[in-house]
Amino acid sequence: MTALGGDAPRAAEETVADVHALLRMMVFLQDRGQRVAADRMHDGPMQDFTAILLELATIRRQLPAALSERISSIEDRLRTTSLGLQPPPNVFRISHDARQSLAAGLSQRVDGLLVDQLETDLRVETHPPTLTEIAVSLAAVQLLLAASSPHRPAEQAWLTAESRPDGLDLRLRVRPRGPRLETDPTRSGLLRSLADLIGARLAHDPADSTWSATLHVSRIPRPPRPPRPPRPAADG
Amino acid sequence: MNAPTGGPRVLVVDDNEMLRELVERILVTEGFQVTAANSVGEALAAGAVDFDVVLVDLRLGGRPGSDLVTELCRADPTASRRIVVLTGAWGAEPLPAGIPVLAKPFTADGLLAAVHAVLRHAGPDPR
Repeated sequence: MTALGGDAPRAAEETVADVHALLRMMVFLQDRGQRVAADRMHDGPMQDFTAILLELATIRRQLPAALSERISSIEDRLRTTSLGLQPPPNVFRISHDARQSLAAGLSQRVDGLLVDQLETDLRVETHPPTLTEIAVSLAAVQLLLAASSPHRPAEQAWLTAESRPDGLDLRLRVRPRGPRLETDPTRSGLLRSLADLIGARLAHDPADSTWSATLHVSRIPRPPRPPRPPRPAADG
Repeated sequence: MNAPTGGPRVLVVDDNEMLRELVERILVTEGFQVTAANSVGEALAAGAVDFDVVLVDLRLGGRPGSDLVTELCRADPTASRRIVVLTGAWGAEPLPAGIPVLAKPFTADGLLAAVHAVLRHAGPDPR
């Protein structure tokens, strides 16, 4: 998309909207991957763990009390261990609560992965963002953090999200690891390019070695629901 | 499918043959009459709506277990009291409110507790 003359601001807005559509797609693809992983876990190991637990119970019932108790304790440990292997709940299916979805997304996909310590202030109860806007926000935060600290998690970050009638305002402040960002042209260049692309404003605070980005995620109209395909008459 | 004589009637719907047999064995040992089905179609053909307890896996080959839940609740609004959903796919399928979920992996004790809870909720345990 090329900006021409007086249409430049509009063209820039359209470009940002296109990029936000890509961000949304990026997070939904992550989500699809998570869903596939959950399905594989269910179809494979969780079925096997259940079968092992049920077999153990069958054996336990034929054993004297002392041995039976030991088997029972093994069952408990096996169940606890296997529950720990379950993938976390899908961010976009947790609930219809925007705050809960956004918090879960940040907890699963940002905190501990892209930054060691994330503090959040989520004010999204009035004019709650749609799942699409949450997806765009998650992707923007992920990419900004990854651009400023490509090889290891940032040290600390603070995220404020505030919903408004026209969308969601984000402010991300980050203390990256390693050399100061302004002394590293590669990282700072990557971050600047990314910020330009997604429509974020960057600022550096040399006093405490942090940078911050502000971004407005515009309210995205819900697409009309496609008609549901007819259900198959028989089992496939 | 088989249905030995005995106590309350339980329908087990799971497309994993090994699990179906293990669940069946445990329930039969406890005195239940168990019928096993490997699909929504088989469960409906077995008369799912008439069972005291229906244990249904959400992820089945072909139609999902949630289809069976929906059909049973449509046929009999009280059916939701007799259903236990077995699943490891957290939050993967929307379910009518109030239907208990037994998460895989579950233990034999967890399975029996879930079945007895349904029977208590639905009425006096006939055993």
